[in-house]
Amino acid sequence: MQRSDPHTAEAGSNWAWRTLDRLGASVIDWCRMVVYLASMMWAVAALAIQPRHWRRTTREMFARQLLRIGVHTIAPVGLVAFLVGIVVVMQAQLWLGKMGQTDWLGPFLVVVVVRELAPLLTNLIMILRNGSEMTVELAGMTVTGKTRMLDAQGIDPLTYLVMPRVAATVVSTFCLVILFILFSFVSGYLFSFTLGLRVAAPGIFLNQVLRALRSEDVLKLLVTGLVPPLLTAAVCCSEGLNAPVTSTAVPLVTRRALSHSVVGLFLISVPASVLTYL
Amino acid sequence: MPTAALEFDDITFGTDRVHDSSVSGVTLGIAPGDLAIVLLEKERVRLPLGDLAVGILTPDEGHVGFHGRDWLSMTPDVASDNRGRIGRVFEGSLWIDGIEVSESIMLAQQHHTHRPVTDITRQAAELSRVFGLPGLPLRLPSAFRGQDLARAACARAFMGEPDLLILERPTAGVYPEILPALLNILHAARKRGAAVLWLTDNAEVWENPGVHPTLRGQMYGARMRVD
Repeated sequence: MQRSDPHTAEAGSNWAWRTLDRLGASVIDWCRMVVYLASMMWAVAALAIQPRHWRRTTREMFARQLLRIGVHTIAPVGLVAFLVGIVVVMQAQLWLGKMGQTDWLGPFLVVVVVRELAPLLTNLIMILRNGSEMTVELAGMTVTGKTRMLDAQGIDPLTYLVMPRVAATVVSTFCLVILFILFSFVSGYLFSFTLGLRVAAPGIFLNQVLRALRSEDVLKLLVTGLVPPLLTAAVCCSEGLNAPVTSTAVPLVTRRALSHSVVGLFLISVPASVLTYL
Repeated sequence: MPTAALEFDDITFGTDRVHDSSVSGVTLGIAPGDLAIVLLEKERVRLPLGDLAVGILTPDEGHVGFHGRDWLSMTPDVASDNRGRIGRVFEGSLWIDGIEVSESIMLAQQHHTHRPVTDITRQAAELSRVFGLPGLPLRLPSAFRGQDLARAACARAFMGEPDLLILERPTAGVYPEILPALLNILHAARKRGAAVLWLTDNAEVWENPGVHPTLRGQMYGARMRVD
């Protein structure tokens, strides 16, 4: 009978323990992060509902962020919505028309565009465009001591920097999701019309979509239009404000904030989609 | 004897990534109207004294009091309001990149008070001129030279008649031309009861008889010797 080498067995056992240790540590880190983010979102929400925290400086910052996050993102969201309209809405009209199944146009567009693509793509654009900017800006402020400076002046970074950004991100994203839906339907309809496809009159097209819209679709739209941006803003702000004071901190925390935001978006969107079928 | 506006009671604070040096066993009291000037070592100008004085750092040992109250005994809201009564020239001339310098000058006043914006703007413009700027600095910090930002930093510190002034090397880069304006305005501030903690690495400033300090201190490593 062949005996196992005790050194090999010990090494194998050490490797197993190390792997288990690393796994455990990352699970604990994840749990800590989730608890931290949940408490941060709770703190921001609790602050935001109290009018006394909306001092004039905070209101100004909110307006500034609304302009930067919301208004300046209309163009990229509009462009993507325009292309989605061409790809999805136009093709749906074309193929469902060819198969003589035009009655399914409304439900198809509601499921694909309203329920899934509009919130998902809008949130992705917001993460890439504004989440990264937010993290870089706040991390830069932290590393150079500017958040400390605000704190020293009695201006709480949570109310002056975080709360307006979170509020502006949530409001802007939800409005942009609605704009996305409108842009894509209009562009798809107009493109089909331009190509000479057989399309229903605008009123009938609109009626088809609205008739297909159910309460769970609206609920899903509310969930995916409001919760992921709240999470994105909380992740980006917390990563930015907790950046270590080192020269390499900014790219590191930005990468982490973006990956966590994207993972968070799918972790919310997928269960929300599944739940609408239950 | 009036309560000290700022009191360091045997404070010790270890090193961190932000500051050049720790402080150990520092005891200092500055009453309203008093001025304490502390000479820093050239290679250790980023001390945690300013952050400890405004209560955003907690000392490892000892207590820091503001008008008789320990920062640790205050609620966050009260502490924030009290910090709004402190004017400060920050070490390293810190400015928020995304907003105009004039807005940064007025930020604390806009945040903590209900003063009309016109009133705040007028005071900011006056102070800017006092410190040698042609008027309110209406552009982003990146558009200004370091010397102009140093002048604007002084204007920011004196906004809204603060009870306590913490001046971290206010003359850096603008010595000696800023000194007369600074001494004049300090004289007026002390007359109305403001306490002043002035940190400098310039021995000429420290020895300048026009400063009229009530207390002179000198840093030796982490320790402060008070004359």
